[in-house]
Amino acid sequence: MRLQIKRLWSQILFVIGTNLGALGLKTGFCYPFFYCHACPAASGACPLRAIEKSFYDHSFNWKLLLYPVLLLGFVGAISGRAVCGWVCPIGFLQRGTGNIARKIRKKPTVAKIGQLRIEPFFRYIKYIVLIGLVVVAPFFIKFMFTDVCPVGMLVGTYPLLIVYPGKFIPNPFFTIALIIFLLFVILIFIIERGWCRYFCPIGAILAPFNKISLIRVSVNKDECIHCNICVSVCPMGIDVPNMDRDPECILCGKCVEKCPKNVIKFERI
Amino acid sequence: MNKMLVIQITAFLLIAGSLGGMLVFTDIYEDVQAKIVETICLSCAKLDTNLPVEFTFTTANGKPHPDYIIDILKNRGPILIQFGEKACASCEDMINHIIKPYFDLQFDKTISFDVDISIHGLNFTYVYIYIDDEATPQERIDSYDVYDVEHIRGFPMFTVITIEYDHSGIIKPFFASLYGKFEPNDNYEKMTETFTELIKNSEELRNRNLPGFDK
Repeated sequence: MRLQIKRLWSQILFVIGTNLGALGLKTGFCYPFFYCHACPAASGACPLRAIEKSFYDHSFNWKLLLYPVLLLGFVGAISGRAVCGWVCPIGFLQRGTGNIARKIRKKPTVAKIGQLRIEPFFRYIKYIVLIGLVVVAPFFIKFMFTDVCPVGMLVGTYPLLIVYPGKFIPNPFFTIALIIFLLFVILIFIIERGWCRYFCPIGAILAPFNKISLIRVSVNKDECIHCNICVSVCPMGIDVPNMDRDPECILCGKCVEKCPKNVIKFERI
Repeated sequence: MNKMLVIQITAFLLIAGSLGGMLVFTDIYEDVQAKIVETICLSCAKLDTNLPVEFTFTTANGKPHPDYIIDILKNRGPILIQFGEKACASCEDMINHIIKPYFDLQFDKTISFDVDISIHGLNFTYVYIYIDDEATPQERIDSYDVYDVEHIRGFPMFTVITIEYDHSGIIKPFFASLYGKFEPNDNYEKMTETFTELIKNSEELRNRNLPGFDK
């Protein structure tokens, strides 16, 4: 079976697993990826909600902070950001919108923007979101990322409105979250994996683990012919021939499959 | 290369060991399950509720009313329960803008308690149940499921409890639950009116039915 087909199956199975709450399975685990526990079918907790609760209103609950971080760390120490590429339902969603984003990328204006030197700096936004909206804002001003989270809107708010028709009405956060949600939709249609690249706070927690993960994608730089096919297929826009344990790599394996010289490989301990 | 391998193995073992230790030796799994996965912070869900206030005798999970409720109804007065949780903007909003100013209360929102209130011509017992307060008796935390009539597990939830004759002629606890901020458009005046009306009616019912309930 081709690697991308395996990945597709993995994503489908995990979308099902993520929603086993529909069958009554409500566990005490945090998801090691982006999904909202407000979804009526959710079987786990959003790690960001646990972190926010740990810091909320000048408090500190070490257990609620350590638990999601260790869970993410456990997964990250094994496979880095592979969960983003193989497991995350929001990654799966962006796989669907990626084709349109790739077509848009070929347009000259967009290509120009993509080549801007400033683009790599945008990738630091997710760390700012993580520290600013998940840790600092809940601690000092009681404002939380989950109050306006676009993924919560997609998999939590809308399904609740559908599952319990007439029982809920939008609250004041709804309008702000709706605007952010619309921007999220535009983003994932115009930039392939735009959410993962620039904004995902869970990606920000997992990214450093790429540096020490037991599984990684490695490039034999001596034998690379610099055809750049890998660069053109990489959904995260990584300079694959020159990468070494890149924090952005989601181990999707597209470069591994497409490399004409087979110099890009999955490597494990 | 060997140095990298040592770092990788050490990091993995440290993380796996700590995670395993947390799961085995702390109650974090149950905490996350009960206080995050099985509950909905309505403000995080960007929603309020739009539900009519309906009194009923039938508990949401079919279990009997908790002993502390029966005790308060017999000895103190009708009850207003507020169920709250940590990191819930609507819970805070209701405490800061309605409960504290309207009922002239000062309290620490992270500690569960109950208090008898006499204000605005109302006499009732206010019970505050903060599920993230580890000192909250389990009976009080479990009472959420008894009164969650819509089965939405949403926070905050308010329950007004009094006593009334049921169809078989027996006097039983009679209650209604309200979720979130329960009034659209942040209409605080309307909210206090709703509370006043509900509590006043509950008080009348309790005063009328108390002699029969005691027996």
